[in-house]
This record gives sequence, structure tokens and C-alpha cells, in this order.
Amino acid sequence: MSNHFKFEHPDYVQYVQQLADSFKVKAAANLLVLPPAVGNGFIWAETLPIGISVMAAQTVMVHEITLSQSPAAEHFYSLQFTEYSKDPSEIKLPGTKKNQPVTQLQSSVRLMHTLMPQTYVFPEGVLTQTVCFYFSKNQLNQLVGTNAVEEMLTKYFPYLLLNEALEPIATDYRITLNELQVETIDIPLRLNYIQNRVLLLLEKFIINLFNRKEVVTGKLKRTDGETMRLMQVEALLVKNFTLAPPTIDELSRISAMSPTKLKNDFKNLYGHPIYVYFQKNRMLKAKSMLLTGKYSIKEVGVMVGYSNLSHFANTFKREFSILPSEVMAKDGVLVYNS
Amino acid sequence: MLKIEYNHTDYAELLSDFAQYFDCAVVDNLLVLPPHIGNGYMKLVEMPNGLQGIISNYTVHQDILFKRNKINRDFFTLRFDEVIMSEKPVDGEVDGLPDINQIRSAVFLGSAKFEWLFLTTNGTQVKGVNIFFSKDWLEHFLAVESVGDLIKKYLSLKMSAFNYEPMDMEYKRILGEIVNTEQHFMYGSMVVQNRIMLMLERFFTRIYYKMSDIHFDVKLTNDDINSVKKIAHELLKDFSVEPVGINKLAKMAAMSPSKLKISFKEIFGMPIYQYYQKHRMNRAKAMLLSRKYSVKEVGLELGYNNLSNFAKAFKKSFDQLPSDLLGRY
Repeated sequence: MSNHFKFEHPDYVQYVQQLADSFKVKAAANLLVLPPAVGNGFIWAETLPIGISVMAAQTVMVHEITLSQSPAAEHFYSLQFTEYSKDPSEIKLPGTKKNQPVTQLQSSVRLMHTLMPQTYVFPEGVLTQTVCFYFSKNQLNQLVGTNAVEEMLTKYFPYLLLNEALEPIATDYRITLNELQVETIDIPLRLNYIQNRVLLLLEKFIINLFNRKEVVTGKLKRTDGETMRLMQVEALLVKNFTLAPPTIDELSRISAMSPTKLKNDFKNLYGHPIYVYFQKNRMLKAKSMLLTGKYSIKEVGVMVGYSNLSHFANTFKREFSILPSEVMAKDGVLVYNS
Repeated sequence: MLKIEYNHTDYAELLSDFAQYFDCAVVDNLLVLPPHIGNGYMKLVEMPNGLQGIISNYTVHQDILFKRNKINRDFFTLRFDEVIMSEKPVDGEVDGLPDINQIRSAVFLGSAKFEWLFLTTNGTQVKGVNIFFSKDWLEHFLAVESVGDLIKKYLSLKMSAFNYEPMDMEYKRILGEIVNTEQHFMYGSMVVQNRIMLMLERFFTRIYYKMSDIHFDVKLTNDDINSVKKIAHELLKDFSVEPVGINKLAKMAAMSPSKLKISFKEIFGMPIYQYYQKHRMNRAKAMLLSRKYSVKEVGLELGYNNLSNFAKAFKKSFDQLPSDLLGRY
């Protein structure tokens, strides 16, 4: 079986159906559950009410698989959020021996255009989570209005497309991505649910763009190598909340940057100082676990590294202005005007 | 008290009519309240996806009664309001107006075929988003979803009753993000539109869950619905006499008592007696607010021979005693 799949049209529903055919399985409702010979995980696709085509996947492949979209006549932008999960101990530093070029395994947000060839890599043995969608100028108009679109398309997008400047997947993206990276989205207003989250991702991308000085001024202060090392620092930081986070000294050693440079650059890239960022992610993790309804508050507290539950409750309240117990009670039955 | 009546189906016109009432002008879709009316603004948002909305964030400096008159067209309003009422007394006539002052912070879906009232007393703070859409728009919105038909059926049943939902933390958080989006931020309309769509999604999702929770039975026939509505009307005809018993009501509706109870709850969202009591207390409040009656008269009119029972029931509904309400004057 070939591991390289080519596609003619920028339409993820077609991708999924074509892949299912190649794997000799059925993708009912555009959900492809990988057969064991191919890997473990799923890929689904959907065409949303406003016409955006979206794909979400979570895979560990037996052999690397590459999808490629040939330059297409249809003009679409695509936004790809891809995260490769690696065990922190396996994170190879630049300069050390590595099996795979770091660039190929970099978690990032990437803007592409159908005029350029695009590839999607699902590497062998690595947990890969991705959400991608194609959108047109017209759909962008419906989202931000024509005036803003012109500026975006003429000023910022070309710069990004030319420079391929990497943007990390930060906290705010991750919450939304996690909501989409599930095999079956069992929500009454399913398409609106997916669409709203896709548009939130696009919104965050656009607003980050607007706020990223380097894009506005056209000057990148960091090298891509530095950006990647900062992303590794970030990955280490949010990997496991049950353990104490690495110290600045450790992080500074790992990233091969001075503590001062590390702190400054981290804040520029992720918008928060290192420990504020750690704490925010920890609380978000706690909140999302509580919202699943599967865990008790105590269990969640322990899973995010709190042995003292009242510290947990206090920190939680500081972050979200409600107590963990209030999150759990939140989605009760509706009450009438009373 | 300033009384504003309207029945628009276009929010741009609505806002400019409000401006006439307030004696000011709408500039760039923004109505800044003049000092004698209040402090703050109402803002029209024409969303890139075609929806219209009004974002409000103001404190009023006098009593204002908003009255939306019914029109015979298929339009809906969805309101998300966070209201902090002032303690100041109401001045003026509000006799006979149902459901007044009932709305605090709430999410409310209403049809333009029904009248709607909103009283803001001097000092009241209002933070909210209203969205206005046609039945066609709603059908289009729901059409893509597999549960769309079920929700539509439910809404057509429910529209005569009130569709309220409390503003919980999540709604308040999203509302806060909408209101705090800077006025002239270039991508503001995107941020607002995305949040409004999130609120819509959440509202209809919760309606769906609510339907499932009460074992919503879509098999009710139109005749059933009409009989039950007649029963509801019968129930509220005269509060001064004992309410009609279930058995008699069942006979009038030509249903078994248990079928009546279940159908009633499905249509009005609450059991028969609770519905009766809610309207009885609303009536009491409206009478008291009219300042034409004493507590005793109101109690008797509503069938309470024992005034302390009346006071208790009133307090249970409104968290204050009838005398407290009157004592303000």
C-alpha cells in the first residue's frame, strides 16, 4: 500500500472518503476510524454551514503517511493546527543526534494557500493531533467584514505565506482544538458547534496576527530555531501537571538561552510570563476535566498536582471567578422565570 | 416615567426611533444616552453574516418602560440581559401589565406576535445583547442540524409560554466579552459575531436538553394543544374564587387528568398549580404597584382570606412582603 496520497480538490470530505477507499474501510458520516494495519485513531471531515471545509484527526500511524494537495484552481486559504506529542525525555535539542529533522515534527499553526502545494505529514509512531480548514476570501468577508479583509489579505497574509513564520499553539488555541479533536462530537447542534469553534480558531489567529509586532512591522526578532526551542520549553511546561514544573534554570539549560532571554522571548511569543502561563494551562486543564463530569473535584485537584484541595479551589477561583464546585453544578436543568 | 412603544422589524430604525424619544442622535450606529436619560450606550451591530443585534451597556437616570407591541409577523427576539435593578420606587401607572419587573438577569426568547415589556427604574444598570431574526432565518439556522426539526416543533408549541433561561456564569462571561470589545477595534465585528453565535448555539442546545429532560412528547395533536391552552385561560379567569379542580379541568379538556397534567407541563413548562400561582402572584404585584389597592384588598381579590398566607406566598415568589412593596410609597 502506498503511503503517499494525492488530492485534487481542497475539500477534506473528499480526502476522508478517498483515504477510506484506499484503506478499504467505510467512512460513514465522514468519520474514518483507522484500521489496525494503518494505525490507531481517527480522521473526520465536515463541510460547515458557511461552506468552510474542516478536518480533524488524532492518529498514531504504523507507517508514516503523507497527504498532499496539488496546487488547485480554486483559491482557498488553509489554516493548519498540528501538534506532535513527544515524550519530554525524547525532545532532542538542536545539535544533538536526532532521528527526524525537528522542522518536520514541529507543532505549529500554519497559514497556506491553494496556489502552493501543501502536505500533511502523519509520522510513524507519534501521536499527531490536527485541525485544518479551508476558507475563501468570501467566507472571510462574512466573518470580519470587507474592509478588514482587504488589509489582512494585502498586508499580513502575503508576509506569512512568504516567510512561513511559525506561530506556536498556545493555551487559547488548545482549549478550542481539544473540543474538536474528538472522534464523535455528540452535540445537538453539531454543525454549528463545529463551525463556531472553527471560527474562534480563525478569530484568534487573526487577532494574534494583528498583535504580532513582527508581522505588522515585517520584522522577525527571533530565528525559527529559537522559536522552536521556545516551543519545546512550552511543551515541557504543560506536559504533566502532577509533577512540579521545571525551574527556570532547567528550562534555560534545555533551551540553550540565558534565563533573561528565555523569559523575555517566552513572554513575547506566548503573551504571558512562564509561570503565569503554566498556571493558566493547569487551571484550564482542571476546568476541562471538571466539565467532562467524569472526575470528582478531588481527583481533578490531584491530577493537576494539588495535594491541598483548598489551595486548588482558591487558585481556580482566582482564574475563573467561580469555584470548582460551581463548575460541576453549572449545567443543570433549565429553570423558568421564577 | 418615559414610556417607549415600538414594533420594528429593523434594528436600525428602532435605534433611531429610540434616539427621538431620548432627544439625541445615532452616530455611527451608536446611541449615547443623554444625561437626563442615562449614562452609557446602545449600539447597533450589523453582523457580516446578516444578523442584526443591539448591544446595550447603560444605567438609566429615570424610569423607562419599554413596550414592544405585538405584530402579526414571524419574527423572534433573543435577549441576553444582565440587569441590576435599583432600589428606587417605581413612579407611574403600571396597572395590569403582566410579568413586569419579573425580568432580572435572563435569557429570553420571544415571538414578535406577543407583547413584551421591560421596565427599568431609575438607577437600573443594563448590560445586554438583543438579536432579532425572522422565522426563515431560524429555520435556515436549524435546517442543517439533525435535531433541527425537533427544536422547531418544540418552539412552535412553546412560543405562547415564556422561554426564559437564567443567565449563568458562562452566558455572563460571553456577554462580558461582547460588551467589552472595543468600539472601534478593527476586528470587533468578528469578535462580537462569534460570541453571539456561541450564545445562540448554547441557547438552542440547552433548549434541546430541556426537551429531553422533560420527556418532551412531540405526538401532541393540535387539538390537544388548543384544549390545554383553553384550560390555562380558564384557570386564570378569576383569582378570587377557588381554582377549578383537576378533575373538572380534565372534563373540560376532554382528557384524562393524568394526560392533562402531562400535556400541560409539556406546553407551559410547569405543573398546573405552579402556573396558576405564578400568574396569581404576578397579578398581585401588578395590583400593588398600581397603588390603587391596599394589601388586604389585593389579598381578597386574589382569593386569600388569610392575609398572612398571602404575604407568605408573595414573599415566596418575590423575596419581599406585599407591605414592603407598598411601603415604598
